[in-house]
Amino acid sequence: MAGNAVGLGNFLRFPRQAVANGGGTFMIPYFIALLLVGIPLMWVEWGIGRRGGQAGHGSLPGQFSTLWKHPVAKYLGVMGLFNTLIVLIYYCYIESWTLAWTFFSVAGSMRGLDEQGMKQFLYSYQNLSDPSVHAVWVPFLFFAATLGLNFFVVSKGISAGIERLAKIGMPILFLFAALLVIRVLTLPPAAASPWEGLNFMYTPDWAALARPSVWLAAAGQIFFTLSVGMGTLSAYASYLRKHDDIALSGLATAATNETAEVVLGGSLAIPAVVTFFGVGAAVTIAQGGGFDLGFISMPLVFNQLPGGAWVATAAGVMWFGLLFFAGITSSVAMATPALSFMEENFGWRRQKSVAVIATLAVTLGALHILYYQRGFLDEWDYWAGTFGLVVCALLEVIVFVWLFGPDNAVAEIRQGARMYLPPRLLRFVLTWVTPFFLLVLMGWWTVQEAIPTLLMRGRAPEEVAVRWASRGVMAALFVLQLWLIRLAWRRRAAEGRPL
Amino acid sequence: MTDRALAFMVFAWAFVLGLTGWCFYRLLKADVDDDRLPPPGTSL
Repeated sequence: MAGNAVGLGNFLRFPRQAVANGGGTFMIPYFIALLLVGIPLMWVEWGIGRRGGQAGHGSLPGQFSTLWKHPVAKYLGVMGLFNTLIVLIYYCYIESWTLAWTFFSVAGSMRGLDEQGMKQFLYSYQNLSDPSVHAVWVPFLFFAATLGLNFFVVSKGISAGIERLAKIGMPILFLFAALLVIRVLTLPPAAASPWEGLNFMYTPDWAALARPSVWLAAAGQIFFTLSVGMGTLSAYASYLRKHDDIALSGLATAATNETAEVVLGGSLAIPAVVTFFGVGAAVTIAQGGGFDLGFISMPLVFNQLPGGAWVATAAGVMWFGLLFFAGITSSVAMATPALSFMEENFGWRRQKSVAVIATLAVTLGALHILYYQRGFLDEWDYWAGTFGLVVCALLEVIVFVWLFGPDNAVAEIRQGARMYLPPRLLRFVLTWVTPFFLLVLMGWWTVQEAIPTLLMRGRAPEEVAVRWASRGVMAALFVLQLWLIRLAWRRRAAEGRPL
Repeated sequence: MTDRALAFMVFAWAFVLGLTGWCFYRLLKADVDDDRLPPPGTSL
């Protein structure tokens, strides 16, 4: 579960969000959102999964229909299949960059590059029409290798594949991150000292607390970092037994993720960049986005580390290696709901399910590689990876708390709990506070982002057709999944299986 | 590093490390049964 939660966002998104939203004061709304949205949603997803798992359902359509005996319930669960499949495909593409950059670090391909050279190195990889650095086939090769690794792991099943990967990957991730943090914080001052980087990260800006956007940014960060609203946590939790603990285990998952994010993620990129380029440049870099921070600035930092070429190589391998392990432990989780759905409803063997989903991922992933520069991926990231997660989380709370019943929901979460959860407080938070937060978040995003995004405001004319095509592919996948759910339930009815 | 920034960093680190430490202490203390049931409808 922690492997699923700890992802690229812990190391690339969190530091940018903290810097852009009040520095130290960002931690106040951030931790409030963790307590009122993140951890309750974590328990809701674990509760949905464990309950649905007792009825043999490993994905949201079946899990929702277990909680709410209504024909519509299974169709609402489509969000748990849609979000995970969409995000899985484009996330594997981003993950393939980390694999590629690990390889480039070993090969020394980025040694001696200046800022312009490093930008060109990244942009040539992202843009197939610019083969000045990378041949056209290179991104396809690393994407295929990444997908191959992912589907090899999931084809081995939960115990022999995903659990084994997490047992290897998570310690390596934490080890690499800890070594890099120690190296960064003991760097000799260049443009500034690394502690000035931490100072930059944590200096409070009290005025920021009065800005609603800061509270929403904090809630959004908590939301993404814990991987709630996807359907992956409930898919994993479906393997639990009726009296297994979910309260303490869910809290431990959230806490482990927060340690990786706040202690490790917050002490790496920004302090390193401030040390070599100063605070002013760090602001510009942070505004440039997580990818520029991770794939341009960090290799530049590594090139300047004292100790020569092998230190730059080792640091590059550790940085991109940790991003790769953070990515793959999350992406294998995203494949699980779709595989479970096909196996439990259509009787497919795991190898067949893996082959079908992998073929789909290769085909649609190629579109991301071909049209990345024209916003094909941005559309998927926004509608499924951002907005879709809030919709899914809201549906989960509505079905699990409001329709299944607040008392039933509280009882489900407290069942087998290895920690005390005050029932009245939990009931109040789940029934009112968490849905309120989610509704505000969704409303704000709809007005501020969803409507302008939908209407293509500010988009370059040459991007519009590709972005609409991207939406068309997503819509087709959504309809396909709704149709598969309908087919699955007809099949269940015909076979006399419980609906 | 200013005192205010240091205070916020210490607060943030103490909160997450304290929470993580407490959770794992409780989990390790608990009597964990490692038996597992077959997954619902999937192959292990």
